[in-house]
Amino acid sequence: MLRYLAYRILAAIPVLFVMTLITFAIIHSTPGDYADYVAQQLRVQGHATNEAALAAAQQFRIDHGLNDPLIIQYFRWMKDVLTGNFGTSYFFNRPISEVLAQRLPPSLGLVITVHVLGTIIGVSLGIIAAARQYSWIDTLISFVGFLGITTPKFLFALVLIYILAFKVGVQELGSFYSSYWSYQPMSFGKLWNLILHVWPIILVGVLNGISYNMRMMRGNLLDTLNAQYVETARAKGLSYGATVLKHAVPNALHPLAAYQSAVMRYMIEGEIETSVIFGIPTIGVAIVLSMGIGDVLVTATLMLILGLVQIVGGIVSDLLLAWLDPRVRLGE
Amino acid sequence: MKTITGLMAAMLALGVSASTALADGATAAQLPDPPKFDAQGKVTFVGVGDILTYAALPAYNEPEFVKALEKAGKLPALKDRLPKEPMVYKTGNMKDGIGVYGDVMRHVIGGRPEGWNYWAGQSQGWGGIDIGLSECLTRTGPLFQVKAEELQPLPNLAKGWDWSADGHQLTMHLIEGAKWSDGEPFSADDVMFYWEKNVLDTNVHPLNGANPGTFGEGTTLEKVDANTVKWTFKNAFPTQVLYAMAYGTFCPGPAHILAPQHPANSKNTYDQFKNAFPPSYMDMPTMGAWVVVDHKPDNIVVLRRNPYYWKVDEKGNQLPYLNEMQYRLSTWADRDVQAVAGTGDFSNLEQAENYVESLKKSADPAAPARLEFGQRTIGYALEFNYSANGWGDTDDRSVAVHNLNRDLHFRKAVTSMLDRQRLGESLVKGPFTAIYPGGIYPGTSFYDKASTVYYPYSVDAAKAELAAAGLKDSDGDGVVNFPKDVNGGKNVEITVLGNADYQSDKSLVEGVIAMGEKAGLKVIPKLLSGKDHDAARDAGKFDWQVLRQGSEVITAVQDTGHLAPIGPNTTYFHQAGTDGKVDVMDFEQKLVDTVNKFIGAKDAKDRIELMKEYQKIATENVYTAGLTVYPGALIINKRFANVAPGAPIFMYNWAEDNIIRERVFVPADKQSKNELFPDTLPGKPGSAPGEGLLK
Amino acid sequence: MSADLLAPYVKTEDGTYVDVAPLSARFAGGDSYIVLVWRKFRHSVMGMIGLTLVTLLLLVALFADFFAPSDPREPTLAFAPPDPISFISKNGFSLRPQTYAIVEGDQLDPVTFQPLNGPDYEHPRPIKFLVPGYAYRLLGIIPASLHLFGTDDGKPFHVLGTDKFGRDIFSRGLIGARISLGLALIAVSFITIVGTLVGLSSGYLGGRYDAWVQRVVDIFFALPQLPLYLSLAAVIPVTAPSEVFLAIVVVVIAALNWAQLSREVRGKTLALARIEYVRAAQAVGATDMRIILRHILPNVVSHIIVSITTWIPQIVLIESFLGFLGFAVKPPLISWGMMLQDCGNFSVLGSYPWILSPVGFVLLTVFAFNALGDGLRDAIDPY
Repeated sequence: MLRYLAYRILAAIPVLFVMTLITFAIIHSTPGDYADYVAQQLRVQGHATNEAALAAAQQFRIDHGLNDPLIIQYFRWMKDVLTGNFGTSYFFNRPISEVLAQRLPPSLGLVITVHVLGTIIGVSLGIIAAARQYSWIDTLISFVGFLGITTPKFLFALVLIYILAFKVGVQELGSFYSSYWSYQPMSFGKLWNLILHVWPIILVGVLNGISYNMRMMRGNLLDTLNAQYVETARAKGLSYGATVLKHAVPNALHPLAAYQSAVMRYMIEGEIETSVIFGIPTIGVAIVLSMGIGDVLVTATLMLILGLVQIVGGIVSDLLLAWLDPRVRLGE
Repeated sequence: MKTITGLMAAMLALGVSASTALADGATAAQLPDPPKFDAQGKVTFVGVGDILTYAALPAYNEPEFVKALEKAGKLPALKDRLPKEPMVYKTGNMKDGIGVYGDVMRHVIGGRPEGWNYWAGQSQGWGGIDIGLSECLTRTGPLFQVKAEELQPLPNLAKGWDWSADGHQLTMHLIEGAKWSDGEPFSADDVMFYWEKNVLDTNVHPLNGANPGTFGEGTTLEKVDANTVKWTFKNAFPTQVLYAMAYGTFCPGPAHILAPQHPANSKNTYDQFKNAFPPSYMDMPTMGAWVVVDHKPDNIVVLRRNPYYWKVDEKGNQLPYLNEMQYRLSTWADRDVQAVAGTGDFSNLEQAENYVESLKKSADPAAPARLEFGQRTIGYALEFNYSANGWGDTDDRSVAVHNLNRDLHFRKAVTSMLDRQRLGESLVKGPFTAIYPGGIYPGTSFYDKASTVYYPYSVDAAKAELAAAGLKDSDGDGVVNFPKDVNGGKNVEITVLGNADYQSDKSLVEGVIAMGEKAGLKVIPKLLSGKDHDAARDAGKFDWQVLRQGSEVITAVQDTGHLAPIGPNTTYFHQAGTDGKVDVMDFEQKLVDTVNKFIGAKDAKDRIELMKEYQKIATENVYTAGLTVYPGALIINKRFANVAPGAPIFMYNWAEDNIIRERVFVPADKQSKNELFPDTLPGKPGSAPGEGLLK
Repeated sequence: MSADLLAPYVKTEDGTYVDVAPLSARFAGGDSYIVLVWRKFRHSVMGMIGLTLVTLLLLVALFADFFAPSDPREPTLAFAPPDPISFISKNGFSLRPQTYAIVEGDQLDPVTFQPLNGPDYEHPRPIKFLVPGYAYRLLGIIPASLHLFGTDDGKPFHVLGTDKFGRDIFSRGLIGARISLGLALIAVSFITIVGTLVGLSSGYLGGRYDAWVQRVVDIFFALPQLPLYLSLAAVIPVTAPSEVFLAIVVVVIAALNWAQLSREVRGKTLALARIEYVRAAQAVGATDMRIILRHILPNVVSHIIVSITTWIPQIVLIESFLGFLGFAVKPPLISWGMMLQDCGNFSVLGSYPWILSPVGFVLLTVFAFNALGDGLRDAIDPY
């Protein structure tokens, strides 16, 4: 077990290296850079002349070494990564580690909430739907599942914010807290304010998560329910419910366990559209933002983090598989 | 047959008259008047003297809590904090009259403060933070309400100026006895420090790019006495330069704070100088109405009133009326939503797609915000890449298209194929958008309809002009081909660059493509977002581009150089090639000459005539093919008073400057409890966030 | 667990297992199996509905122009709501439904300044089948102008209203199905084939092969999708022909998304490969191929089917997103993704909800494929 873990962690290092290299190259292959953004801001916000804006962009490239060969920029960043501060964000003008320290914890909290809720509700609904196949409950649950998968998240979020801002006039929009509460120490009032701000994101995310988990669970459970050993168990006098829960469900959980390897990443990427629309400063929003303006080191760092999450997720998922099913031996 | 009847039915329904005869080519026609739009605020045009003056008043007043601090001995007396003759805003120009103290204006912005050293190039996150912190020699934002005959920048830190008889010298009189927000006196030394150590020192790059050339090549500035400076120019009467002395390029910083950090006076490198006032450095002295007292990264910036502010109302109340300014650090799109919902107070709504719903919402008496429409100063044009000199793409197809762009027949074909009514309606229906043939905007004081040449929508005329340009559909696939000897006689394929970040830009690009298809041109979208769009544009990697235009066509007096290729890269669509020269066409040369004459013209009448001439040449030759113009909407919370009607969201400057925030107030019965640091004043420069407050 | 688990294997006297079920009856592709599946499938109501809908969708996609009542490129009144349809006209009730064109007057709404519009009740237009309309080429070859339904006065009939340029949304939706469905089906096929093969082999073979494959999967997983799309959009010349673009889109979508399916299939295979009856089959000397085909694949098929049905809408959305980046389907081509891009503003939600129709198209597609998938999943194991 420990040996296996050590092996997986060691194997992750070259994967991460290759990944950062590819990512870095990809991020830099778009035509514009942060200097173009600087020029754009000068023109649009400060209505500077084109010549002044272009000169400022050129100066920025010189100051920040954006004209250097890519590989040099890469190793410069790698050095920063190894020292733990990941370089400086052009946009925030502070170490990326600080930006991360600020944005990562609430984002993870959000993502994990969404994930746990989505999985628990989704799996439960999937079990109910499969156990009552073809009943009206099954139909209803399946329909909600369709909706959750089909409706584009951006549209769902837009409808929500349209109703909240244009129709209802809700006062908890944008950011994690209202201005007043962001100055208060943690309390129930503050927590409530937080919930009022983030529930739409959780709702959209959970609905999506429910749909996926529900459909997966339903399909897999129906498979196992048809397997002979279930019938055998029934023949032995176990009640239907007990059979489902004791025999079928554990076997139907495998693909869901495998899915855990990808889930964190999908969750982080999945909240982007909603968070952007609701103006919540999460990690996902930082990815889109940094990419849009060419704050490349931030993008690269966040991609590195996502990759890391991915790999850890993979390991966790394999461990989960082994735990669910002792017949799976690790590291064969 | 079916399609034609369908089209005609649509035209009748829209009230658009179909072009009568089958034209041989594009012929100019009467430009329809822009539709009447009742929601547009009526601007009351006034003279400069009606807005403000400089005078000593018999008595001055300040908020109660400031009085209390004064009594406690924590602050000098108000009389000593104000200049000898403060700037006085005239009550007659204030829509709701003299205001009362209190409350806060909550902004939402998408930028983040890089630091407070504006003068070395750091951005404060835009959205009006820097506009509020910057008091400049002159001021342009409120000019939207100044009569055309009196149009020139408002006095500000420079309370007046005299030209020498030969027009080479300009003496500026600075406000006397004014103080920075930390109580240090403001003087000509601050102006000279900015000029010598920021503008002239080529190692320092102020934000918005002020450099010696900004004020004319060879211009010098000298100090006469503590309150007077003198400019010397190479050309006589370069009146245009007064606009460059407003926001953006001549807002001096506090020399007593900046100078010790400058490499000339310290061991700092230029980079250390730039970063000497990081985002966590609070209470940076300013001449502005509010001082930054708190900054929570990625969350909020809070500004409190400047107790040394040097502007008052006619009753002697020290401005600003609002005690606090807040800036939520979010995204630009979030700003619109929050302003509509009422969690933010202010937004510049530029996306016409959201007008209808915002209007619906604001009509509700309980709605927190209202919409203020200004002149039609937001507009788009289709711009042609004229460079046949190696700027931009140089493959056969691109070069062939660029050469087509240089052919007047081709440009006439393009302008005729555009159904501008439909393009405008694709953004928003109703009387918002107006037909815009090109040139300067109808909302500009220099605009002259009679000088505007308009080629109306006619697919037949477009086809005839294409044929005249030598383009025929030789292979019968519905797309015209190049002549045999050009680009292998292939189909004419044109790339059109657009900004993918905005729905309006995308809709217009889509419209141009559909209209090109009808005329026989294959137009291919090149939609890029943000920086990639700008990179492609600055590198000339496009054949056409749909672009939202800037100050030059809105005011004609700002960024005037953008109106014609007077320099190697002054316009966004015709720049110098590998040889460093712009291959200007004959009519472009005329434009260049006119623009240069305009910049050098002293007499207002001459300038008006010159701009008419410019408009005629530009629209006759389809310098750009205009698409549509429409008004922006200022979303502002209903509780604010003294917001001038018809204030445009962008004209001479952004709305944050235009509405003169220091004299905006909230009537006592409407005041909110949103102040985060009530009853406090800014503290000592360099305090930690939220900690230096005077209370 | 009892020996039932091992059926249809029977333990022989010498302790080995023998497969007693005739192979042909299960998977060799014999008629009887197909017949069995079909027999079971026929009884699934949902499955049959799904099959009908999917067939219909494919037909519509193929003969879109025939089904479309109006020219999808013809601009008419912008942002017009759907033309109302009624069986009652001013002449009283009639069996033939009538429709009324939306017309606009000079009056403006006092709040929103939008021109007021409404149906033109003076001019009822009977809806007929097989009417002549705009000219098109059937299957891209045969010139035709016959349309399944419409009005015979030659004017456009807007079943679902019009978009920002006054183009018919219903017709655009039908034409758009061609690219959207085609793209989704091809990409999903790639994802399924590659994902399943890699997942099966990796999970079944295990060991060093599995370790290597999983590291490759890790890298594919970790590829930053958004930056990749952005850079591809920048790298491919915009003037490249549409077909090339679409092909690249399919390849890229498939390349970026097979990894997840492969992980899931691997997870399931890993578990199945160690189940007793598989071990038993291995013990009796069944070939790997046979074991995979007979014992493992059938058990992962249901998972794959569910996965396919969730991928189809996702790919339509990816396509929309790519179009947004200027990479993929570009105007004047029409796709659902392109149409979805028009949904991203508040006015559409508040004032022009019919522009949201493409969501309905996607919903219908997902429903159809899901229902078909569910039916198939149940029927695939007819025993």
